[in-house]
Amino acid sequence: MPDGVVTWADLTADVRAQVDVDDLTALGWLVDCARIMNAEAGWNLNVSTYTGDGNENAFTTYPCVRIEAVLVDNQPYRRRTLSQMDAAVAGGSSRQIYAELAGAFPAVLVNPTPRSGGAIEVRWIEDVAYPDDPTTQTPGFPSDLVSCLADGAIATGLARMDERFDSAGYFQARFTDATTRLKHRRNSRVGRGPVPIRLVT
Amino acid sequence: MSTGLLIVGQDDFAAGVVRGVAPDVAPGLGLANSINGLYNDDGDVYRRGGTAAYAPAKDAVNRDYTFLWSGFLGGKAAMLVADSAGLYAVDVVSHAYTQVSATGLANPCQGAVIHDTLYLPNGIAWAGAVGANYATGTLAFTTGSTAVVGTGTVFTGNVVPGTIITVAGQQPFIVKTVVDGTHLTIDRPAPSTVSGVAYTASASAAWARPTELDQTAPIRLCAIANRLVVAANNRIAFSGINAPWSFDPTDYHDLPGGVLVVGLSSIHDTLMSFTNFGLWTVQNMAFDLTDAQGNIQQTLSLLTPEVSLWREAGLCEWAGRIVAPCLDRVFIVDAISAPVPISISISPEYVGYVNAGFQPGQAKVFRNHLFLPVLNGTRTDTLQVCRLDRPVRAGQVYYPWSTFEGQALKATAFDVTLTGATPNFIAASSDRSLQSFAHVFDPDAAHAADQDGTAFVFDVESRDFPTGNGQPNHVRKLRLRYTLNSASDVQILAGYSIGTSEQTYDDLRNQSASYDIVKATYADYAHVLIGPGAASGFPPSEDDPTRLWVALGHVTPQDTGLSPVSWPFPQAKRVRYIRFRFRTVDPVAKLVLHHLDFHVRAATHNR
Repeated sequence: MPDGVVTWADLTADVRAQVDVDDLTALGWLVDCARIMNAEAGWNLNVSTYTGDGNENAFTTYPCVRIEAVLVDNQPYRRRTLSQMDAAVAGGSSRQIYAELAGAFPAVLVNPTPRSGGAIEVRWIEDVAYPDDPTTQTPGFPSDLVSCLADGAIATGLARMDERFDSAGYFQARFTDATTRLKHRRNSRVGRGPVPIRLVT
Repeated sequence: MSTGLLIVGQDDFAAGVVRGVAPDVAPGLGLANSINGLYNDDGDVYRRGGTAAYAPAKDAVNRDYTFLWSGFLGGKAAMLVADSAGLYAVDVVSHAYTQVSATGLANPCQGAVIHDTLYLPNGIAWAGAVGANYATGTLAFTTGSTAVVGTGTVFTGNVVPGTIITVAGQQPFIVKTVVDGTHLTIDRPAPSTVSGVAYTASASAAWARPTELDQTAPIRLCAIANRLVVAANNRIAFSGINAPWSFDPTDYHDLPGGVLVVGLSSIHDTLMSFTNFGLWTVQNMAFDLTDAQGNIQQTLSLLTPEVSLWREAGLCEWAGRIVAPCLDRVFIVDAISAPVPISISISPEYVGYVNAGFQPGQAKVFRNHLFLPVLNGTRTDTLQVCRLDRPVRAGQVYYPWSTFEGQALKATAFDVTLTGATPNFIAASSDRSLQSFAHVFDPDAAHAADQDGTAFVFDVESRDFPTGNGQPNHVRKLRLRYTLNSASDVQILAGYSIGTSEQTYDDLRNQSASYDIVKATYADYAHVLIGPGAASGFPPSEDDPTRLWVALGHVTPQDTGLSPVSWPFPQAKRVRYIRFRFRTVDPVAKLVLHHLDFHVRAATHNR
């Protein structure tokens, strides 16, 4: 790995320097913290595009934390609950709405059903995947904040194993601060309006 | 990020090695092991100085020395070593060896010096002379005279003071002066007037044990109140005063109780008779057994019934008392008080040696330190050293022990020699040389290594520290304060151990080790089990060979001790008890360990 790249294994070692746990437990705590940080900050933005076939109104998004926005033919759709979606579909409503379908295969339901050939764009926050190879894979956060994942995991360990909530608080604060900063940085990238504007990548 | 870390430390190691005590009640002044360490007046442990060559190896024969004696006979410095095949005089100036008898000493033992003659339990007496046997001509003795006249003799050049003259039917005579080729004087008046007597003049000669003793049982010797005391089985016979050649057939004590005499020693005119069950004393040995009216003057009494001496070679004197290695403990005894045990702290190990059938070599006290070699057969298995003048009370009274390794481990018999300007402490070594231990107490640059130039290890293992409150707490960092004096860089390896368990495969996995790394790190499966410590420089612990050691790495101190050296833990350890170890194999002029401490993040819960 190039210098400066922080892998899951590096973070595991940082945790074990402070808390006497095995690698698997430390990695589990780290992945937990990464998921928290990602969900709070909405960092791992993913964009999926589909082409409508005139019949399909459900589009799979996996592994998804939440849906940020749905655009059909560049028209932003509004978010509704599943119940509202049910009512709209049953009533043949023409309101442009979407709802998240949770479950084993998370998907987004769209009403009305996109036309055949319609461009469907789903913006969603992808979950942090459990690493297959911790020694080469990275959590995917900015390098100045990624080490704070270890702080979060250390806080978990101190609180659970030693019940040192005082010491854990110090590390937890560092982790929370990093999460907040990541959130601000993400907002600065995508704006604060109701509809996030996709950046040119 | 060191908020809230507690520091647990120890700055006094005066109890020395303490074994077999549960960690929660172990004295806070102890160590688990100390190899080549000694304890100074501050209670610090320091690396001993090296041994020095005193006399070169006699030859390359693979036969261990069993006996060493140094002193003055007839006003001349004399030194004698023995193995199982002979006795050898050592010239105190040239350090040349000369065989003086072909009758050796198979096992370590004690001799007795009286009347300028060294008596040995193999039935040989030596008075300091060397040279070939001489038996030319005949001798004439006159009753009551020490003058001897030779006929056909050339005493000059063939007989020297100290030569022993043997004639049939007499105990040996010692030559005092050689007047000329036909005249000499002997050590005692001749008992009868005879002439034309055939004789043999030799460097050593056989002396006859008292007739009232068992003639085949092994004998023990002691000199007290100018008497030669000889014991066999349970009978203790003693000679006339200043007449080691004369034993009255009725001058003996029989010990009751079905015991065997194992060793003899003396304090003032009290004979200490160590048996295989009980310590007996005979007081008033300066007096005759009875006075002119038949009143008993010597009294035999059982001083302590439970003391069973291990072997006589371990007996030595210190501060007017006797240091006696017994079957269960090493005691300091005198003729009045209850025995003081000094080996409580190493009891499991000591009893292990006794049970294994080992025997003590010839022990000695020098500069208040007991040097007790423990022999497996005739080869030293361990050299135990105990500082006698600085016991500490920590629950019990502990005398600080340590073990010596390196060339020092070759020592089988010790004695102090006063032939030089300063007292020298020498040891007979299994490589057939004599080495000096005088500098072990004063390490300096000239004695950073042992006599053969090899550096010896300095290995100190701390006690098991509780990390606090009986709880498992996180240990984060180890720190050592020291004094160092060395011309070259010295590497100190530190490590820790948390229990007796061997390494498991789970442990290996937790070190993130791939199979390739495991293969590269460990020589075989045995090393995998013993753990990374074995691969990184820690041999198994003396008292606990399966203990798993984790090395924290080498540190090279950058100054003489102004700032402590520290080892951060790459992985925090959450433990109730932890033990540390410091080891260096570099030759260092001076290394004193003053203080060790470690940083703990204490848990707040109570489980």
